[in-house]
Amino acid sequence: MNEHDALIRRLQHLGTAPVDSGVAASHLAGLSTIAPAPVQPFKRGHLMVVGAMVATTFVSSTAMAGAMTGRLPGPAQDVAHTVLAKVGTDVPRSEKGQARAAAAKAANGERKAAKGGADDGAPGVARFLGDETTPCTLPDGSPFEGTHGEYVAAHPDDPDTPDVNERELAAQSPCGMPLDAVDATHDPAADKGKGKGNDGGGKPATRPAGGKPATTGKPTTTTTTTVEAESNTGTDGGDGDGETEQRTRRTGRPTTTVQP
Amino acid sequence: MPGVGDVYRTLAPAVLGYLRAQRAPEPEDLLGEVFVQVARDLPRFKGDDAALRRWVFAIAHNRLLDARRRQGRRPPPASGVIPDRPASLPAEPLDPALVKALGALTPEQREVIVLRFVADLPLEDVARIVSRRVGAVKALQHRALDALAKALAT
Repeated sequence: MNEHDALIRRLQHLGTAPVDSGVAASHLAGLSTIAPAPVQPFKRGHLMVVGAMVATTFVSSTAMAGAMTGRLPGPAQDVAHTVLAKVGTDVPRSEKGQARAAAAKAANGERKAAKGGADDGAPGVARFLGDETTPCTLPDGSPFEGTHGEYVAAHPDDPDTPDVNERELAAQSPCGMPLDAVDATHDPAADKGKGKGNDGGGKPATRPAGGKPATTGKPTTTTTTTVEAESNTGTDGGDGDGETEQRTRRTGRPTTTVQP
Repeated sequence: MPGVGDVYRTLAPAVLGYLRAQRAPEPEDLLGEVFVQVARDLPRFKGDDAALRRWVFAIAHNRLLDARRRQGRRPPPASGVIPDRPASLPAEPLDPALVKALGALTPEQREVIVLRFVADLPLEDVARIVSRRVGAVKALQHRALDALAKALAT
Protein backbone atom coordinates (compact mmCIF):
# COMPACT_ATOMS: atom_id res chain seq x y z
CA MET A 1 0.00 0.00 0.00
CA ASN A 2 2.98 2.29 0.60
CA GLU A 3 3.71 2.63 -3.06
CA HIS A 4 0.24 4.19 -3.51
CA ASP A 5 0.34 6.51 -0.49
CA ALA A 6 0.68 9.62 -2.57
CA LEU A 7 -2.13 8.53 -4.84
CA ILE A 8 -4.37 7.78 -1.87
CA ARG A 9 -3.71 11.22 -0.41
CA ARG A 10 -4.70 12.81 -3.73
CA LEU A 11 -7.90 10.75 -3.71
CA GLN A 12 -8.71 11.74 -0.13
CA HIS A 13 -8.11 15.35 -0.99
CA LEU A 14 -10.94 15.14 -3.54
CA GLY A 15 -13.38 14.67 -0.68
CA THR A 16 -12.20 17.68 1.29
CA ALA A 17 -12.88 20.40 -1.25
CA PRO A 18 -15.52 22.70 0.28
CA VAL A 19 -18.86 23.15 -1.34
CA ASP A 20 -19.34 26.48 -3.02
CA SER A 21 -20.73 28.88 -0.42
CA GLY A 22 -23.63 29.97 -2.60
CA VAL A 23 -24.65 26.39 -3.33
CA ALA A 24 -24.30 25.42 0.33
CA ALA A 25 -26.43 28.37 1.44
CA SER A 26 -29.22 27.50 -0.97
CA HIS A 27 -29.10 23.86 0.06
CA LEU A 28 -29.23 24.66 3.75
CA ALA A 29 -32.11 27.06 3.18
CA GLY A 30 -34.02 24.39 1.37
CA LEU A 31 -33.24 21.72 3.92
CA SER A 32 -34.60 23.84 6.76
CA THR A 33 -38.05 23.81 5.16
CA ILE A 34 -38.20 20.06 4.71
CA ALA A 35 -40.43 18.33 7.16
CA PRO A 36 -39.25 14.96 8.29
CA ALA A 37 -41.10 11.99 6.87
CA PRO A 38 -43.82 10.97 9.28
CA VAL A 39 -43.31 7.72 11.05
CA GLN A 40 -45.77 5.23 9.63
CA PRO A 41 -48.46 4.55 12.21
CA PHE A 42 -49.39 1.00 12.90
CA LYS A 43 -52.06 0.34 10.33
CA ARG A 44 -55.32 -1.36 11.12
CA GLY A 45 -54.60 -4.07 8.54
CA HIS A 46 -51.34 -4.88 10.25
CA LEU A 47 -53.16 -5.14 13.55
CA MET A 48 -55.65 -7.61 12.08
CA VAL A 49 -52.86 -9.73 10.61
CA VAL A 50 -51.03 -9.83 13.91
CA GLY A 51 -54.26 -10.67 15.73
CA ALA A 52 -55.00 -13.51 13.32
CA MET A 53 -51.50 -14.87 13.79
CA VAL A 54 -51.84 -14.77 17.56
CA ALA A 55 -55.25 -16.44 17.43
CA THR A 56 -53.99 -19.15 15.07
CA THR A 57 -51.00 -19.81 17.28
CA PHE A 58 -53.21 -20.04 20.35
CA VAL A 59 -55.72 -22.39 18.73
CA SER A 60 -53.09 -24.62 17.18
CA SER A 61 -51.10 -24.87 20.40
CA THR A 62 -54.24 -25.65 22.37
CA ALA A 63 -55.28 -28.30 19.86
CA MET A 64 -51.78 -29.73 19.89
CA ALA A 65 -51.80 -29.97 23.65
CA GLY A 66 -55.20 -31.67 23.55
CA ALA A 67 -54.01 -34.10 20.91
CA MET A 68 -50.89 -35.01 22.88
CA THR A 69 -53.00 -35.95 25.89
CA GLY A 70 -55.71 -37.68 23.85
CA ARG A 71 -58.45 -35.27 24.90
CA LEU A 72 -59.73 -34.37 21.45
CA PRO A 73 -63.02 -35.82 20.20
CA GLY A 74 -62.61 -39.28 18.69
CA PRO A 75 -62.33 -38.53 14.96
CA ALA A 76 -60.19 -35.44 15.56
CA GLN A 77 -57.88 -37.45 17.78
CA ASP A 78 -57.52 -40.11 15.07
CA VAL A 79 -56.78 -37.44 12.47
CA ALA A 80 -54.20 -35.87 14.77
CA HIS A 81 -52.65 -39.30 15.29
CA THR A 82 -52.39 -39.90 11.55
CA VAL A 83 -51.11 -36.44 10.63
CA LEU A 84 -48.62 -36.01 13.45
CA ALA A 85 -47.28 -39.52 12.94
CA LYS A 86 -45.98 -38.30 9.57
CA VAL A 87 -43.80 -35.72 11.31
CA GLY A 88 -42.59 -38.18 13.91
CA THR A 89 -44.81 -37.07 16.79
CA ASP A 90 -46.42 -39.86 18.73
CA VAL A 91 -50.01 -38.97 19.53
CA PRO A 92 -52.42 -41.60 20.91
CA ARG A 93 -55.49 -42.71 19.01
CA SER A 94 -58.98 -42.34 20.35
CA GLU A 95 -60.43 -45.33 22.22
CA LYS A 96 -62.50 -46.37 19.24
CA GLY A 97 -59.52 -45.92 16.97
CA GLN A 98 -57.40 -48.13 19.20
CA ALA A 99 -60.06 -50.86 19.13
CA ARG A 100 -60.31 -50.66 15.37
CA ALA A 101 -56.55 -50.79 14.98
CA ALA A 102 -56.31 -53.83 17.25
CA ALA A 103 -59.03 -55.65 15.31
CA ALA A 104 -57.39 -54.83 12.00
CA LYS A 105 -54.04 -56.00 13.32
CA ALA A 106 -55.49 -59.29 14.48
CA ALA A 107 -57.23 -59.90 11.17
CA ASN A 108 -54.04 -59.05 9.32
CA GLY A 109 -52.11 -61.49 11.48
CA GLU A 110 -54.57 -64.28 10.68
CA ARG A 111 -54.35 -63.58 6.98
CA LYS A 112 -50.57 -63.60 7.13
CA ALA A 113 -50.53 -66.88 9.04
CA ALA A 114 -52.84 -68.55 6.54
CA LYS A 115 -50.89 -67.21 3.57
CA GLY A 116 -47.50 -68.06 5.07
CA GLY A 117 -48.59 -71.62 5.85
CA ALA A 118 -49.61 -72.29 2.30
CA ASP A 119 -46.46 -70.79 0.87
CA ASP A 120 -43.54 -71.76 3.01
CA GLY A 121 -44.68 -74.36 5.45
CA ALA A 122 -44.76 -72.02 8.41
CA PRO A 123 -45.49 -73.71 11.71
CA GLY A 124 -49.04 -73.61 12.94
CA VAL A 125 -50.63 -74.65 9.66
CA ALA A 126 -52.56 -77.90 9.84
CA ARG A 127 -51.37 -80.31 7.16
CA PHE A 128 -52.59 -83.59 5.87
CA LEU A 129 -50.31 -86.28 7.31
CA GLY A 130 -52.23 -89.38 6.33
CA ASP A 131 -55.31 -91.26 7.39
CA GLU A 132 -56.62 -94.83 7.22
CA THR A 133 -57.08 -94.79 3.47
CA THR A 134 -54.10 -92.65 2.52
CA PRO A 135 -51.13 -93.24 4.76
CA CYS A 136 -48.24 -90.78 4.54
CA THR A 137 -45.04 -92.65 5.28
CA LEU A 138 -41.46 -92.23 4.27
CA PRO A 139 -39.79 -94.94 2.12
CA ASP A 140 -38.34 -96.52 5.25
CA GLY A 141 -41.86 -96.86 6.70
CA SER A 142 -41.54 -94.11 9.34
CA PRO A 143 -44.40 -91.59 9.67
CA PHE A 144 -44.01 -88.41 7.62
CA GLU A 145 -44.18 -84.86 8.95
CA GLY A 146 -43.55 -81.81 6.80
CA THR A 147 -44.69 -80.05 3.68
CA HIS A 148 -45.87 -81.57 0.46
CA GLY A 149 -42.62 -80.62 -1.24
CA GLU A 150 -40.64 -82.41 1.43
CA TYR A 151 -42.85 -85.46 0.98
CA VAL A 152 -42.25 -85.53 -2.76
CA ALA A 153 -38.53 -84.98 -2.27
CA ALA A 154 -38.40 -87.92 0.11
CA HIS A 155 -39.80 -90.25 -2.55
CA PRO A 156 -37.31 -90.59 -5.40
CA ASP A 157 -38.11 -92.80 -8.36
CA ASP A 158 -36.97 -96.36 -7.63
CA PRO A 159 -35.02 -97.80 -10.59
CA ASP A 160 -35.91 -101.34 -9.44
CA THR A 161 -39.55 -100.70 -10.30
CA PRO A 162 -39.47 -99.21 -13.81
CA ASP A 163 -43.21 -99.53 -14.21
CA VAL A 164 -44.01 -97.32 -11.24
CA ASN A 165 -42.96 -93.70 -10.87
CA GLU A 166 -42.84 -93.28 -7.10
CA ARG A 167 -42.07 -89.58 -7.27
CA GLU A 168 -45.09 -88.89 -9.42
CA LEU A 169 -47.28 -90.88 -7.12
CA ALA A 170 -45.95 -88.86 -4.20
CA ALA A 171 -46.64 -85.67 -6.07
CA GLN A 172 -50.20 -86.72 -6.67
CA SER A 173 -50.78 -87.60 -3.04
CA PRO A 174 -52.13 -84.97 -0.62
CA CYS A 175 -49.44 -85.71 1.97
CA GLY A 176 -48.03 -82.51 3.45
CA MET A 177 -50.63 -80.26 1.84
CA PRO A 178 -52.49 -77.77 4.05
CA LEU A 179 -55.76 -79.21 5.20
CA ASP A 180 -57.61 -76.29 3.62
CA ALA A 181 -56.30 -77.28 0.23
CA VAL A 182 -57.07 -80.96 0.81
CA ASP A 183 -60.59 -80.12 1.97
CA ALA A 184 -61.12 -77.98 -1.06
CA THR A 185 -60.25 -80.89 -3.30
CA HIS A 186 -62.73 -82.96 -1.32
CA ASP A 187 -65.58 -80.51 -1.65
CA PRO A 188 -68.02 -82.04 -4.12
CA ALA A 189 -69.99 -78.83 -4.38
CA ALA A 190 -66.88 -77.00 -5.45
CA ASP A 191 -66.12 -79.63 -8.02
CA LYS A 192 -69.61 -79.39 -9.39
CA GLY A 193 -69.62 -75.64 -9.39
CA LYS A 194 -66.35 -75.32 -11.25
CA GLY A 195 -67.59 -77.70 -13.89
CA LYS A 196 -64.72 -77.49 -16.30
CA GLY A 197 -62.46 -79.94 -14.54
CA ASN A 198 -65.04 -82.68 -14.57
CA ASP A 199 -65.20 -83.22 -18.27
CA GLY A 200 -61.85 -84.89 -18.31
CA GLY A 201 -60.31 -82.49 -20.77
CA GLY A 202 -59.74 -79.21 -18.90
CA LYS A 203 -57.93 -77.76 -15.95
CA PRO A 204 -58.28 -79.18 -12.46
CA ALA A 205 -61.57 -78.26 -10.90
CA THR A 206 -60.18 -76.69 -7.77
CA ARG A 207 -56.98 -75.14 -6.54
CA PRO A 208 -55.45 -75.12 -3.07
CA ALA A 209 -55.17 -71.92 -1.11
CA GLY A 210 -51.60 -71.42 -2.21
CA GLY A 211 -52.63 -71.09 -5.81
CA LYS A 212 -50.97 -74.25 -7.07
CA PRO A 213 -53.17 -76.85 -8.61
CA ALA A 214 -53.54 -80.00 -6.56
CA THR A 215 -52.26 -82.08 -9.45
CA THR A 216 -48.86 -81.80 -11.04
CA GLY A 217 -50.37 -79.84 -13.86
CA LYS A 218 -50.07 -82.54 -16.45
CA PRO A 219 -52.97 -83.20 -18.77
CA THR A 220 -55.67 -85.34 -17.37
CA THR A 221 -55.21 -87.95 -20.01
CA THR A 222 -51.63 -88.54 -18.90
CA THR A 223 -52.67 -88.80 -15.30
CA THR A 224 -55.37 -91.23 -16.20
CA THR A 225 -52.89 -93.39 -18.00
CA THR A 226 -50.64 -93.36 -14.99
CA VAL A 227 -53.42 -94.37 -12.71
CA GLU A 228 -54.44 -97.08 -15.07
CA ALA A 229 -50.90 -98.34 -15.19
CA GLU A 230 -50.68 -98.28 -11.44
CA SER A 231 -53.99 -100.01 -11.15
CA ASN A 232 -53.05 -102.66 -13.61
CA THR A 233 -49.64 -103.41 -12.19
CA GLY A 234 -50.77 -103.82 -8.61
CA THR A 235 -47.23 -103.89 -7.35
CA ASP A 236 -48.26 -102.61 -3.98
CA GLY A 237 -49.87 -105.85 -3.19
CA GLY A 238 -53.03 -105.67 -1.18
CA ASP A 239 -53.67 -101.89 -1.25
CA GLY A 240 -53.48 -101.46 -5.02
CA ASP A 241 -56.83 -100.38 -6.39
CA GLY A 242 -58.32 -98.88 -3.29
CA GLU A 243 -55.39 -96.62 -2.61
CA THR A 244 -55.11 -95.53 -6.18
CA GLU A 245 -58.74 -94.51 -6.25
CA GLN A 246 -58.43 -92.64 -2.99
CA ARG A 247 -55.37 -90.71 -4.21
CA THR A 248 -57.11 -89.85 -7.41
CA ARG A 249 -60.10 -88.50 -5.61
CA ARG A 250 -58.06 -86.42 -3.17
CA THR A 251 -55.91 -84.83 -5.80
CA GLY A 252 -58.96 -83.52 -7.58
CA ARG A 253 -58.86 -85.66 -10.64
CA PRO A 254 -62.19 -86.86 -11.86
CA THR A 255 -63.11 -90.25 -10.50
CA THR A 256 -64.80 -91.20 -13.73
CA THR A 257 -61.47 -91.65 -15.42
CA VAL A 258 -60.28 -94.32 -13.02
CA GLN A 259 -60.45 -97.73 -14.54
CA PRO A 260 -61.02 -100.56 -12.06
CA MET B 1 -28.55 13.18 17.06
CA PRO B 2 -27.10 16.02 14.95
CA GLY B 3 -29.39 18.20 12.89
CA VAL B 4 -29.47 18.04 9.12
CA GLY B 5 -27.47 21.30 8.95
CA ASP B 6 -24.65 19.80 10.95
CA VAL B 7 -24.66 16.67 8.84
CA TYR B 8 -24.55 18.79 5.71
CA ARG B 9 -21.61 20.86 6.91
CA THR B 10 -19.71 17.73 7.93
CA LEU B 11 -20.37 15.43 5.00
CA ALA B 12 -21.35 17.58 2.05
CA PRO B 13 -17.72 18.14 0.86
CA ALA B 14 -17.03 14.42 0.82
CA VAL B 15 -20.34 13.67 -0.88
CA LEU B 16 -19.69 16.31 -3.52
CA GLY B 17 -16.18 14.92 -4.06
CA TYR B 18 -17.67 11.47 -4.43
CA LEU B 19 -20.18 12.69 -7.00
CA ARG B 20 -17.58 14.62 -8.97
CA ALA B 21 -15.11 11.73 -8.94
CA GLN B 22 -17.91 9.54 -10.23
CA ARG B 23 -18.54 12.06 -13.02
CA ALA B 24 -22.11 12.51 -11.91
CA PRO B 25 -24.27 14.73 -14.09
CA GLU B 26 -24.83 18.05 -12.33
CA PRO B 27 -23.19 17.03 -9.02
CA GLU B 28 -24.38 20.07 -7.04
CA ASP B 29 -28.00 19.34 -7.87
CA LEU B 30 -27.49 15.72 -6.96
CA LEU B 31 -25.90 16.80 -3.70
CA GLY B 32 -29.08 18.72 -2.92
CA GLU B 33 -31.21 15.64 -3.68
CA VAL B 34 -29.07 13.51 -1.40
CA PHE B 35 -29.48 15.84 1.54
CA VAL B 36 -33.19 16.30 0.95
CA GLN B 37 -33.58 12.57 1.56
CA VAL B 38 -31.22 12.80 4.52
CA ALA B 39 -33.34 15.58 6.00
CA ARG B 40 -36.52 13.53 5.54
CA ASP B 41 -35.21 10.32 7.02
CA LEU B 42 -32.79 11.60 9.64
CA PRO B 43 -35.34 11.44 12.51
CA ARG B 44 -35.64 7.69 11.95
CA PHE B 45 -31.90 7.07 11.73
CA LYS B 46 -30.25 5.31 14.64
CA GLY B 47 -26.51 4.79 14.91
CA ASP B 48 -23.15 6.38 15.54
CA ASP B 49 -21.10 8.70 13.35
CA ALA B 50 -19.60 5.88 11.29
CA ALA B 51 -23.05 4.48 10.62
CA LEU B 52 -24.30 7.94 9.72
CA ARG B 53 -21.46 8.35 7.21
CA ARG B 54 -22.20 4.95 5.67
CA TRP B 55 -25.91 5.75 5.52
CA VAL B 56 -25.38 9.11 3.81
CA PHE B 57 -23.05 7.61 1.22
CA ALA B 58 -25.46 4.75 0.61
CA ILE B 59 -28.07 7.40 -0.20
CA ALA B 60 -25.59 9.19 -2.45
CA HIS B 61 -24.78 5.91 -4.22
CA ASN B 62 -28.46 5.24 -4.88
CA ARG B 63 -29.19 8.79 -6.02
CA LEU B 64 -26.24 8.55 -8.43
CA LEU B 65 -27.63 5.34 -9.91
CA ASP B 66 -31.04 7.02 -10.29
CA ALA B 67 -29.47 10.03 -11.99
CA ARG B 68 -27.62 7.81 -14.45
CA ARG B 69 -30.83 5.96 -15.27
CA ARG B 70 -32.60 9.28 -15.83
CA GLN B 71 -29.74 10.43 -18.01
CA GLY B 72 -29.94 7.23 -20.06
CA ARG B 73 -33.67 7.73 -20.69
CA ARG B 74 -33.35 11.41 -21.56
CA PRO B 75 -33.37 12.04 -25.34
CA PRO B 76 -30.25 13.67 -26.74
CA PRO B 77 -30.57 17.42 -27.43
CA ALA B 78 -31.46 18.35 -30.99
CA SER B 79 -28.46 19.49 -32.94
CA GLY B 80 -28.32 23.08 -34.04
CA VAL B 81 -30.68 24.37 -31.35
CA ILE B 82 -29.19 27.26 -29.45
CA PRO B 83 -30.29 27.57 -25.83
CA ASP B 84 -31.88 30.87 -24.87
CA ARG B 85 -29.41 31.35 -22.01
CA PRO B 86 -25.85 30.17 -21.56
CA ALA B 87 -25.39 26.99 -19.64
CA SER B 88 -23.50 27.29 -16.42
CA LEU B 89 -19.94 26.20 -16.73
CA PRO B 90 -19.13 23.07 -14.76
CA ALA B 91 -17.01 23.68 -11.74
CA GLU B 92 -13.38 22.95 -12.26
CA PRO B 93 -12.48 19.73 -10.47
CA LEU B 94 -9.92 19.97 -7.76
CA ASP B 95 -7.56 17.53 -9.46
CA PRO B 96 -8.44 17.32 -13.16
CA ALA B 97 -5.73 14.76 -13.97
CA LEU B 98 -6.87 12.45 -11.20
CA VAL B 99 -10.51 12.77 -12.18
CA LYS B 100 -9.58 12.01 -15.77
CA ALA B 101 -7.60 8.94 -14.66
CA LEU B 102 -10.55 7.81 -12.57
CA GLY B 103 -12.63 7.94 -15.72
CA ALA B 104 -10.37 5.33 -17.27
CA LEU B 105 -11.18 2.74 -14.60
CA THR B 106 -13.98 0.23 -14.89
CA PRO B 107 -17.20 1.36 -13.19
CA GLU B 108 -16.72 -1.26 -10.44
CA GLN B 109 -13.15 -0.18 -9.75
CA ARG B 110 -14.10 3.48 -9.76
CA GLU B 111 -17.01 2.88 -7.41
CA VAL B 112 -14.82 1.06 -4.92
CA ILE B 113 -11.88 3.42 -5.06
CA VAL B 114 -14.05 6.53 -4.67
CA LEU B 115 -16.09 5.13 -1.80
CA ARG B 116 -12.96 3.84 -0.10
CA PHE B 117 -10.77 6.96 -0.31
CA VAL B 118 -12.84 9.95 -1.35
CA ALA B 119 -15.74 9.05 0.92
CA ASP B 120 -13.25 7.61 3.43
CA LEU B 121 -15.27 4.52 4.24
CA PRO B 122 -13.82 1.30 5.63
CA LEU B 123 -13.70 -1.80 3.42
CA GLU B 124 -16.66 -3.40 5.19
CA ASP B 125 -18.91 -0.39 4.58
CA VAL B 126 -17.87 -0.21 0.93
CA ALA B 127 -18.62 -3.90 0.54
CA ARG B 128 -22.06 -3.39 2.04
CA ILE B 129 -22.90 -0.44 -0.22
CA VAL B 130 -21.77 -2.11 -3.44
CA SER B 131 -23.19 -5.50 -2.37
CA ARG B 132 -19.92 -7.38 -2.70
CA ARG B 133 -17.73 -9.44 -0.41
CA VAL B 134 -14.91 -7.69 1.40
CA GLY B 135 -12.34 -9.81 -0.43
CA ALA B 136 -13.75 -8.80 -3.78
CA VAL B 137 -13.70 -5.14 -2.76
CA LYS B 138 -10.10 -5.46 -1.65
CA ALA B 139 -9.11 -6.99 -4.98
CA LEU B 140 -10.94 -4.29 -6.92
CA GLN B 141 -9.23 -1.61 -4.83
CA HIS B 142 -5.79 -3.14 -5.48
CA ARG B 143 -6.31 -3.33 -9.23
CA ALA B 144 -7.81 0.16 -9.32
CA LEU B 145 -4.84 1.70 -7.51
CA ASP B 146 -2.43 -0.03 -9.91
CA ALA B 147 -4.40 1.17 -12.90
CA LEU B 148 -4.60 4.70 -11.55
CA ALA B 149 -0.88 4.82 -10.85
CA LYS B 150 -0.13 3.68 -14.39
CA ALA B 151 -2.58 6.16 -15.89
CA LEU B 152 -1.10 9.06 -13.92
CA ALA B 153 2.46 8.02 -14.73
CA THR B 154 1.94 8.30 -18.47
